[in-house]
Amino acid sequence: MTSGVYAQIVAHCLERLPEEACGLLAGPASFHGLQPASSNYLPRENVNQPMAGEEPATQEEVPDTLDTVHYGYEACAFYPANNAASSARLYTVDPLDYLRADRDAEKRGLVILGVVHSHTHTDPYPSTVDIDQAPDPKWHYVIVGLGRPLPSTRAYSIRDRKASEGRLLIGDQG
Amino acid sequence: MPVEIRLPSILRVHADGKSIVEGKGSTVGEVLQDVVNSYPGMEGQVVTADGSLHKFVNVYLNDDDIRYLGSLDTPVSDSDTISILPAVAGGAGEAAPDPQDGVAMLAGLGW
Repeated sequence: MTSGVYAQIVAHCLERLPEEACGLLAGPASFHGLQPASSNYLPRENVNQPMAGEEPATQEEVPDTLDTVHYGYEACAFYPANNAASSARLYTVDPLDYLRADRDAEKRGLVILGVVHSHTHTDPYPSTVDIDQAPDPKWHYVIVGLGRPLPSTRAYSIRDRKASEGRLLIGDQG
Repeated sequence: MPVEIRLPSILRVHADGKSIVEGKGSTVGEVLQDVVNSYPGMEGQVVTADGSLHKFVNVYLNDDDIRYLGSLDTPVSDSDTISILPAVAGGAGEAAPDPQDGVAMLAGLGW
């Protein structure tokens, strides 16, 4: 995703504390899980902080052969949404916000690529609720964990009630 | 004139990849059934077998949620657009710490 989108996501998640925040990601349709992201995409920072009991990931530990659904993901727009659940433990994207995001994305030649939400007190791992209610196997599920002093962000695909982590790159095409 | 129906990505696989399809009918329910007749893979995806709206789907007629109109009996006209949207929900869940911890945390930070 672009650095601007990442900044918007983190800002939105912090602004919505103590409730969970949510929003939708959009990007070019041609990248929707169909082809690898541009090699010109330059990661600027590692947004994945190690979890409790977890060693920091090294480049060698990141497999290069992840399913294509993890790649091809160039989110260039973020649509903040109201959490209709108004909860610190659950989120529901306000359907009207979804509708407006979908319309705007279409006008810009984009498609909805996935959903973002925060975990206010825990690390950014998909919960049982996240997995059970994941609406689209082609989507990308970005979770921002706010349970530590600095936000930690991870991205997943969720298919057949199984979550697998993807490689999240923050940067701008050079 | 048919009514325009906008589909979410998860349903496009049942409609030859189209994001917009057309359907005919005088109510939302009739239009959706017409779409199912054209694309049988949509059967059961929006309307349940007992004829009610699937609970994990939101259907909008223009800018209005049909649950707050006449549900599937809501009348439609040629200029209307029906949008089908999946319910998007989740969260840390009940196993997460008490939400009041968040209030206390913010208070501790001087918010």
